Amino acid sequence: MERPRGRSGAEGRTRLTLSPDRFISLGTPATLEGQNAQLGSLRMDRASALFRIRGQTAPLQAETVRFMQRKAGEAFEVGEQLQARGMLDHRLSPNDALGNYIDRTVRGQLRDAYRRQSIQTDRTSVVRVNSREYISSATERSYRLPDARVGNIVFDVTLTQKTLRTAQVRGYFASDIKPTAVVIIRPRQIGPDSSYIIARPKD
Amino acid sequence: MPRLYEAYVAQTIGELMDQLGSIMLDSPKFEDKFGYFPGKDLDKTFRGLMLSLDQLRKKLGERRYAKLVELAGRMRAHFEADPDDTTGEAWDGRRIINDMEDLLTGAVKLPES
Repeated sequence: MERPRGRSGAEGRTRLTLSPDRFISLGTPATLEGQNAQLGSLRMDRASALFRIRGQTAPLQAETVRFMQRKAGEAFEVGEQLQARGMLDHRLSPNDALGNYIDRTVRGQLRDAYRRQSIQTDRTSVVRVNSREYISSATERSYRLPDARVGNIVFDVTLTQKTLRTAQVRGYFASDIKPTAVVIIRPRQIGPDSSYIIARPKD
Repeated sequence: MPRLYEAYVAQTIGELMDQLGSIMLDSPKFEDKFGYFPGKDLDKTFRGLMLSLDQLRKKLGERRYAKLVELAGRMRAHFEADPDDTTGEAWDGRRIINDMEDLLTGAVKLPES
């Protein structure tokens, strides 16, 4: 007969078991950097749980911005080192080559983050990474390719400033998912107000 | 439920390019300073890369697949030899990422056998 999980059998006492797959560490990190890291990880865990269990997208949207912002900053630093060594794509302008590297890196990291949280990112999911968002209203069916999407929010990692006048942003808003906002994420190293939200214009 | 780090397995060549960008970022230690990926290390990262190459083997073709596997092995050895990024060997590993990207984009073609 199968024993109930978490019980010690004969005595029937509840035994607390901590899976090493769930808790990498139970202590409080000693450094501020470590505490920030733990907090960030816990926030992502909480947001992902709210999405998986209750279908809430807002916390995951917030944590996705935070994650992408941090990773864009890291990728900017490494990208500059690669550029100084001539290791970015020579066929592109320096700015485009750096931007291309940052985009790819953040997307790669984001897929890993969603995988860790057991969040699907295929075409059936409302959470997607670099997936086509079609525009059925156009004369000829076309699409846009945002870096990420969570529910009705689109995320775009970029080095250049984008506004409602930018064709790419207008394309996001015209897509069938009808996003309520486009979040422009730029590395903090660019300067203040590097990242911002463009709300959906009133029809 | 969150789990220990397991790399996403790329389903397209584009996703594999993104994965290589991500490997470039985390090399040579493959630890995440923000704490999003508990348990992430070199071994798990390269296991993920090999799974991605296996997944895309048909799309890549046998010769390109074999070359990419060989390059991945050499890259790993460079990162293992210079985990603190002090001897310059980690940069040899990163240059191999560039070689793999060139093979994937078609910027470099394998010589006819």
